[in-house]
Amino acid sequence: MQLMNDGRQARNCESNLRIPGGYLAAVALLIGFISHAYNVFQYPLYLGDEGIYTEQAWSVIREGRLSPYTYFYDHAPAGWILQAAWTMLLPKQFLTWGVAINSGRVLMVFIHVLSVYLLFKVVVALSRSTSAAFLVCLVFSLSPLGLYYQRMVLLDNIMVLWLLLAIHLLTNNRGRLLPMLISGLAFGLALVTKENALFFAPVIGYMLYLQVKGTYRARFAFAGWMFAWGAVASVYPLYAVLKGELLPAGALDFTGRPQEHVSLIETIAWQLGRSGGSVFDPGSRFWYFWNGFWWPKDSLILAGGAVAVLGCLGVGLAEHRREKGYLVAALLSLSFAFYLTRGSEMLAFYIVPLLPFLAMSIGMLVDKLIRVTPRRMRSAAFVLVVLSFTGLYLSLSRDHYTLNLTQEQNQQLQFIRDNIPPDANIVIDDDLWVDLHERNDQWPVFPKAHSHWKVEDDPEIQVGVLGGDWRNIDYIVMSDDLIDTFNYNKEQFVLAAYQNSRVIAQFEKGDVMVQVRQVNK
Amino acid sequence: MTYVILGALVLSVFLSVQAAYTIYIMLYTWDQPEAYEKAKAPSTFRDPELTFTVLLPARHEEEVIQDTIQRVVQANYPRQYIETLVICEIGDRGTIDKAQERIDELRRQGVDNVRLEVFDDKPINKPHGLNHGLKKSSNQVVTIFDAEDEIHPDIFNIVNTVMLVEEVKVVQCGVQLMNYDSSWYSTLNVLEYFFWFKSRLHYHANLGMIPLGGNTVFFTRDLIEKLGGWDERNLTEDADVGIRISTSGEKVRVVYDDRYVTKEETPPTLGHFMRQRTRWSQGFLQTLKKGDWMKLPLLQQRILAFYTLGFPIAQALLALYLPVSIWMMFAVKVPVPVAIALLTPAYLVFAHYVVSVVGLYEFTDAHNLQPSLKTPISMLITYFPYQWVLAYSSFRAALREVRGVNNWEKTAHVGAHRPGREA
Repeated sequence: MQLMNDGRQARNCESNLRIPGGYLAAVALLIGFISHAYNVFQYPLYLGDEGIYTEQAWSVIREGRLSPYTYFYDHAPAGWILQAAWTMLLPKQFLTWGVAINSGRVLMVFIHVLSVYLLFKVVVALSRSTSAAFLVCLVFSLSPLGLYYQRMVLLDNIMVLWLLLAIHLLTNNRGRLLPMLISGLAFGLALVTKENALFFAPVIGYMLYLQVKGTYRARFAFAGWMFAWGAVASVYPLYAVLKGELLPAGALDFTGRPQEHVSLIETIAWQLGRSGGSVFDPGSRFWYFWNGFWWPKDSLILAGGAVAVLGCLGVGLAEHRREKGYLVAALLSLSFAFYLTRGSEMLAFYIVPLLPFLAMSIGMLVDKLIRVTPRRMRSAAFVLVVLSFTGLYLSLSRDHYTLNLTQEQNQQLQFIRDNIPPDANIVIDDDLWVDLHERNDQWPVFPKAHSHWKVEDDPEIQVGVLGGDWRNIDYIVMSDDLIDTFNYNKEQFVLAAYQNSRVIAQFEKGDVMVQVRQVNK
Repeated sequence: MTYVILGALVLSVFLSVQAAYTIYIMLYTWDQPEAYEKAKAPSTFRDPELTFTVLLPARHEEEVIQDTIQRVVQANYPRQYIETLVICEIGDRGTIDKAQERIDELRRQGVDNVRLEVFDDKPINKPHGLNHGLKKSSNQVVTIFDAEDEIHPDIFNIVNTVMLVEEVKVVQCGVQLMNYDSSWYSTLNVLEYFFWFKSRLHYHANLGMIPLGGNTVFFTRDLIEKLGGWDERNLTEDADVGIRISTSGEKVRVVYDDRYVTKEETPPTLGHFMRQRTRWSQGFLQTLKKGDWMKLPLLQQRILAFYTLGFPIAQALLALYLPVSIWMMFAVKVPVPVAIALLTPAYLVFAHYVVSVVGLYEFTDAHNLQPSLKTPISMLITYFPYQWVLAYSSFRAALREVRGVNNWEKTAHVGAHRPGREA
């Protein structure tokens, strides 16, 4: 069986609903838009990482560079270049919706809607059922875990869009070669947005194989697809080569003069060497995030997803001639689950690329189970399932739609603007970076407000700007729980200043608390 | 310096677009399932109905002419439906003698549908020979074979069927160089033919703007006579006649079926190869200058015609641009994004190489050949020299055209594609 839709086949022969697929897709898009747009500026808290990508997009536009600090290849830059391009289109650019991160969050809403569209098309191709596609998109849009991270300005969300585009073009191409080549380009963009997309490569390659094996275009399809993403991905190391930053400093230096520069290879080696602990170790990063962040937000997509992945795997293997789509759905989840559990360093939002595929397995399997019921009951059963999912998810995500968590961060920002001299040396989290640096006609800018990461690790800032002495720091702006980050990363320089500082302003609500501190001289 | 960089950027965009387009039309057949289906020969043949005139213009072809005659005679088509004219210039005694020898032999065997036609007027070139043959013949469908061609015995059945079923007046069948491993330039040359006939011509036919090939092309007599035959002052009379047919709005059917291609050989030496290329490039420029293509009804047809006929020059620019861009990358300090933009054509050239390697396997697979692993590597090594040879030939052609030099530089044939012979 091929995954391909040639456009003439009845695509919808197994839907549980007698509603045209176009209407279902439109409703899915609407749900995707409303769930993500509503309250997006208030919830969740602005995360430091959102600020990092926003300040790097700022640097692309304002400085023609990839980062306001020394870019050290921590991530490939396509994500924030896209964010920069988007921001250029906005009438007041970073200031269009108040706080700078908001402009990125609007982009994320659109990215989610596009992702829903692509996911819908992919699921119809894999399952031949528009009702399955609707269910998948419902889970994908309403999952409180998904909602939480998909609203944030994260590279992972952009990567998911490119990934889904790559998969979509492999499943809906009417047997043409060009969409397969563009799929390769899209996958390349996914890679240069976030490198861990690479873990999907084997499954997507397998999808391509299912699509073209035995056809006369098989050779060109494979070679073209691999070439396309290889070419796009190669621009990243090419950039490093052109900057003279591919190899570690001194690797090709025979002059004996000391050299200092960042290096792509060094960073990759460092990233690969960072361990988050084995999945068999309950104290590993994986279980830390599982227990502390993921499970409490949405146990359904995790537990249900795990079961559904096994179910889809079973269906795919048992009926492998007819139901390759279920096998593919399961493999997509498994390949990224392998990445998450293989014991490397990670952050809470690394779960993001897994969510559309967990949703895919859940939706496809539940839809297939409903097909077991008598024909006349199927529509009712399907509607019941939809309503239960929706009700459950809405009740679990009341905070997402009602809380205003960013209020404190807004007040904190206003306090800084009103009370701190613009030439002060300020240590900040990245969430406020662009708001403190972007020129505007209302408030002062703070050119010496620097990210705590750079104050701690970048000699240009710690030594160059602060003279290597924490006493030169005037203020520390604390985002929620930032002290934990200082401690986890053992930021000695910043901690020294912190320990010798006092609170001059504090804003709190619930368990969110942000501060502005002044360093004692 | 800023202007140099800006100029390079503009050139880089231009070359990237044209290179991407070229790659696309190379892959057209693989991209379009319908085109692929259409390119195939009919699976069952109609009964013979149409009568054929085979024009076999030959000059200094004493080595291969007898085999070629034999091939035509052995075609699976009623002999009385085919007349074959071997056309020679009166001074070419060698070819005339060899041809006459075989014709006499055939007569003795009772085969009497082959004859020799000799002309003694100027110019001594292929289109003149064709026009001469056209006047001396009478069958319904006129076709051309070159002296070195190895035609498939069913070729007339295919054309008979296609012309009757699809009611087309022009059929171009596939021509394929075969000796892909006989010299350093032959692999890439063979693949050029492969992509040209298997893919690109279908794109042209679909758009209604097609430069025809020089042989295994079939016209109804009324059409070619209405067009006034071939242009004797044009070095690529085949491309020219294709443009004129396109202008008249006549549909051209292209058949490329690996089983039925006419087999040919690459030119035997580099010198011959360059002269052949020079002739083609110059012929294209002449056709461009002549301006018939401007009468094409659609803008996209005119653009495609301009692009195709001027292509040798664009390709030459690309071949020269690459070393310059790589030099600029290291020697001139340009901003990194600019350097990356300047390298885009290099990516596309590499893509072209990859497509060629895949094409090699498609080609050898279709003809049951086994390429050695060395072939893709030697293609990598010879890729740029090959492009530079083409570039040199294009510039030489342009220079000749400007100077008004217009003699026909003939390509020699030794029969390297025929089994049992050494090149």
